[in-house]
Amino acid sequence: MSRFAKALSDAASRLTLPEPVRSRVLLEMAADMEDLHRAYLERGLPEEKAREAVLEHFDLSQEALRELAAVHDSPLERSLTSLSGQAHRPWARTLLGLLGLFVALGTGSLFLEAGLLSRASSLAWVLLAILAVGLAGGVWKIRILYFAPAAVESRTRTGVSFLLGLAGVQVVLGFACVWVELYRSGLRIRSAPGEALIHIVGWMHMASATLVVALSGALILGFLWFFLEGRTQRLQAAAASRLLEADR
Amino acid sequence: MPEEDASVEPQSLTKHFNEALILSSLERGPKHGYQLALDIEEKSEGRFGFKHGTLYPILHKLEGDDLIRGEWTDEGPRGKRKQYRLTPRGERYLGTLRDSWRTLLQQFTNLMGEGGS
Repeated sequence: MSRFAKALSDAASRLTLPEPVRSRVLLEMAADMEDLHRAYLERGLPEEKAREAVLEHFDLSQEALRELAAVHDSPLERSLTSLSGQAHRPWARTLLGLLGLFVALGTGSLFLEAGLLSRASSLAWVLLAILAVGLAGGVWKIRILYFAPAAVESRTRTGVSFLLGLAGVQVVLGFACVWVELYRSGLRIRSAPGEALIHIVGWMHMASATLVVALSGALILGFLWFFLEGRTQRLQAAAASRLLEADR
Repeated sequence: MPEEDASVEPQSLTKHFNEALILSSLERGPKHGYQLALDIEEKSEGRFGFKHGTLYPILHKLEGDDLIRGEWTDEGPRGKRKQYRLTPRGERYLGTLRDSWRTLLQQFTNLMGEGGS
């Protein structure tokens, strides 16, 4: 056990960074502490004085640790890490999986309905194309994270947040479609005010069909991101443990 | 991301001062974090001491800006160590900092001189 274990453990508890960055920072500190201690001993300081001098030199104040965390992580990344970290336990993932299945069964029948896409805005095809890109990317990440994790340990996180970005695009585009179609309906009502009710009902129908496509796609991509991000975090934590183990 | 033609503003003196000390120490050769702190302390004859708490955020920021590069090396029984070296971009940035500091110190000296005469 390191003679600086207490100071390091204290710093670890206050350092809010995702793995393996956090472990790498701690590993760097631990190595520097040991080396500085040795340098002080070589200068003739007694053991306890050298240890005290190192601890004084490594003033790991809250402000310094906060600055260190800010260098490595944006607030968005921190909140996403904390969000995906909620499902670390198998029962939490199972529960979430069941919830996803329930949502899929609920909206799946609507999705398979032949008329849904014909009723939705023509931009719904763009939404489906985005979903297809996201699913293809998700399958590629599943292959890497579940079947070849060791080969890409340092880059596991790359690409996972892309899924969340696509889910966001689905939602934004879905609502944009609704407003574009509302504008178009407004133009039709202006040229034929007597058919206003028909156009309003038509718009509502189209808007709801488009939102079913957009939000279902966003949910599917969101669930995929959640599971892959959780898997990424577990792989990175394991990599960090191996890094620290190797140093002992 | 630092601009390579950036001048030293009085408001960011401390930040640029610390960066200049670290980069110039690395110009003398690659170093571990603790060696950097000791080198700066020794070369300045104890005038500029670096607490590691202050050092790591600066080092990691400089690394993120590609001004220095940190590399993990396995040093046998001593275990893994991270060593930093200056990048070509860091060399150019150090040159800019050096010029800015010279100008700033010259102006400062001129001002101080005016007060005495």
